[in-house]
Amino acid sequence: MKKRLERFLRMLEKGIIGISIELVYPLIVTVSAFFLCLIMFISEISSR
Amino acid sequence: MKKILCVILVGLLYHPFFSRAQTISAIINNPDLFDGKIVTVRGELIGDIMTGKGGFWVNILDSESAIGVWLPDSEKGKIKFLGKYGVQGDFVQIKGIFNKRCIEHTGDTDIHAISLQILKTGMEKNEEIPVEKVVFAFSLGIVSLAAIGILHFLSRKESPPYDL
Amino acid sequence: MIPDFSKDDISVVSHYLGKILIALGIAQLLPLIVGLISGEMAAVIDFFISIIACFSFGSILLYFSPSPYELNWRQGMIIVALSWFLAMFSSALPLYLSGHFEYFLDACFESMSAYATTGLVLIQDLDHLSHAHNVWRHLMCFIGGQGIILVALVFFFRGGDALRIYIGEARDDKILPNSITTAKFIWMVSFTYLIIGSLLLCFVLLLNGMPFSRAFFHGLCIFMAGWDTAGFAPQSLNILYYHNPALEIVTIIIILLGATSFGVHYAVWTGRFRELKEDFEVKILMFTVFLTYLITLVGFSGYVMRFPDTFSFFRSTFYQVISAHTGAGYTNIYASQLAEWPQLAIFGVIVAMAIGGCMNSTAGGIKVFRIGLFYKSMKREVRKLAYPESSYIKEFFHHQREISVDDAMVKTAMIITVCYILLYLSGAIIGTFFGYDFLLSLFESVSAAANVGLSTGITSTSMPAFLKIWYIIEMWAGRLEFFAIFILIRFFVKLVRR
Repeated sequence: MKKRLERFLRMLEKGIIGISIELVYPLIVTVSAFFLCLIMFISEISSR
Repeated sequence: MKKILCVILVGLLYHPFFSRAQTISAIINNPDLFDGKIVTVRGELIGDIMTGKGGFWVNILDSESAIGVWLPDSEKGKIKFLGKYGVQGDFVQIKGIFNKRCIEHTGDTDIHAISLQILKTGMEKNEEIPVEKVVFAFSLGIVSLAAIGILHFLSRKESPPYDL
Repeated sequence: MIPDFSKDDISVVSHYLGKILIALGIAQLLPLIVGLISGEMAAVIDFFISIIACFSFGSILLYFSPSPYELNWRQGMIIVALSWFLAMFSSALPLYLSGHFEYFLDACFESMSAYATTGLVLIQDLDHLSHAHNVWRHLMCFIGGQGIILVALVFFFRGGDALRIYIGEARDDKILPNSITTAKFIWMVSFTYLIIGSLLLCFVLLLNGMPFSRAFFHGLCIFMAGWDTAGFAPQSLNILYYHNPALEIVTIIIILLGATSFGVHYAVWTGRFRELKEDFEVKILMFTVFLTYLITLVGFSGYVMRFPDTFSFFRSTFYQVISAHTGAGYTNIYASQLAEWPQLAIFGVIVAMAIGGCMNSTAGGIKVFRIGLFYKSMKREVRKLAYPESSYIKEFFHHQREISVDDAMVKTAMIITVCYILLYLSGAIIGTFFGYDFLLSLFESVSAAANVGLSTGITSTSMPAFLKIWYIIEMWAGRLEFFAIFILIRFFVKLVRR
């Protein structure tokens, strides 16, 4: 019973960390795309 | 002479004929024509009031399209009903500045209202349930249950019950 | 002699279709309960009629088709192909009874769009639709995204039968050894994110002053359609309704996760966190997202100054590209505004839609896995030329395990890719025939076939009926990735010849 509980808690811990990482990765994508956009915007302004 | 002509022109612009409401789809489909200009739209307020800094959002729907309207907090009290299922929202006239890409709201397409006029207060509508539909549903239910029962009885009689 | 289709196949197929119809009837109990709680008696009656119809026809099919002992691959594929049409018709009934659709065809279009997680809509006066019907629209997206068959897999089918049907649904990744266990895992991931995603959206809307019940309803609907990359929203303005950049960011998180392979979710959730960085598909997805966004940005050169600042420029452009690439179809601008974009920018979005998301996710399109496979295959061919003839060249990639590129894999991927391209072009040509601009027709066709849902305004109730039917076929074919449909066509041809 104790071993099963320990195994479940370990699985839960991995799951929580995994979900946290997964929630962060789209934000990283969005921020990176924003920087690409910023470069484009600045280059447009400077060329005008 | 020039001054008199200007006064007449400005007066004409405020004449009901020239300041009549535009449809929302006319504005949306010709955004460059109306960008930054005062527009007048009439329609039903729908959905929800969503608060922001110094004001709130509400969406207005006419016969063709809908658009978001930004209003100052002082106007909130005027709104009684918002359209949804079973509710007819307040029918309003909004005069405001149309923004193709609002600088204040991260590029949103919106109208910043100058005035809000309630033309007709909304109301809660009684649900209209056609009697024929109820009769049909009831009859269908009875016939189907009977048919399912008969089929089940026949299938049990013919062979052992199948496992799902 | 190779056995061909026979009348016994009809009996087997009918049996399983009967079960699926009953399952769909059970699924409709949820909107019925929502209708009862909300006091929407008209909606309750609509769903009551539909549920009775599903149970009745399902029972008739089960009665006349004896219990089969074993399902073969072809029968599995036929069941998959036909079940989508069955689901479309049976689910369109309560929608049509709501009075929000001019024609039954429009209701069928809506239900197929939901199940295929497309998101193109023909509903009228969505802002006055009952909660029950709205929940049903979004629930169909959820069921369709998980796979109608997966629903049945978990509850109705036996092991061997289940695998054949699972493959027919264009999910050929064995995440776990047993297909039932895989199906259960997919549902577990979906329900976990349902709770997290809905609460996150609800929280953002509560901060916006929405009452809790409305915030929760909107959050739940947006999640179901976002996670399954369907793109339905409870209001006619779609995401533009909320005027909320924070909400848009949350939807980006949800749609990107929805477009990620369930295999990657499984790896990350069980401690293999590096899989997110090392997985071949995720790498290709990131590359194509940035590439298509770059194409869109280049398309906007000369037009950038029309935007007041970088944030509004980013919000308008990136949201459309990520929504297109993941196949979600959420939009924060009007269709007419999208149609006004510079041509290269529209082309960037078309390419993003055409490529689609990851295999074994809720996304549509050609899939980034195939794009990556072509790249690896090309690399292998170039290396073969560079090395002596007698050399044996192998190219590997990491996708949950190390996989070597082989000709059979590339051949299958090529066939499916060509089918997608032909489907995209067919819709574009038909749209042009009806008088629409070619680029916009191509956009709409790709949107339908890749199950995206972005529209430039062509999809409307006034669209020609033939085009509506063609888009229904495109959504269906795109969702099933063709093989199941080819088997179905062959089945009918053989039956007719007999």
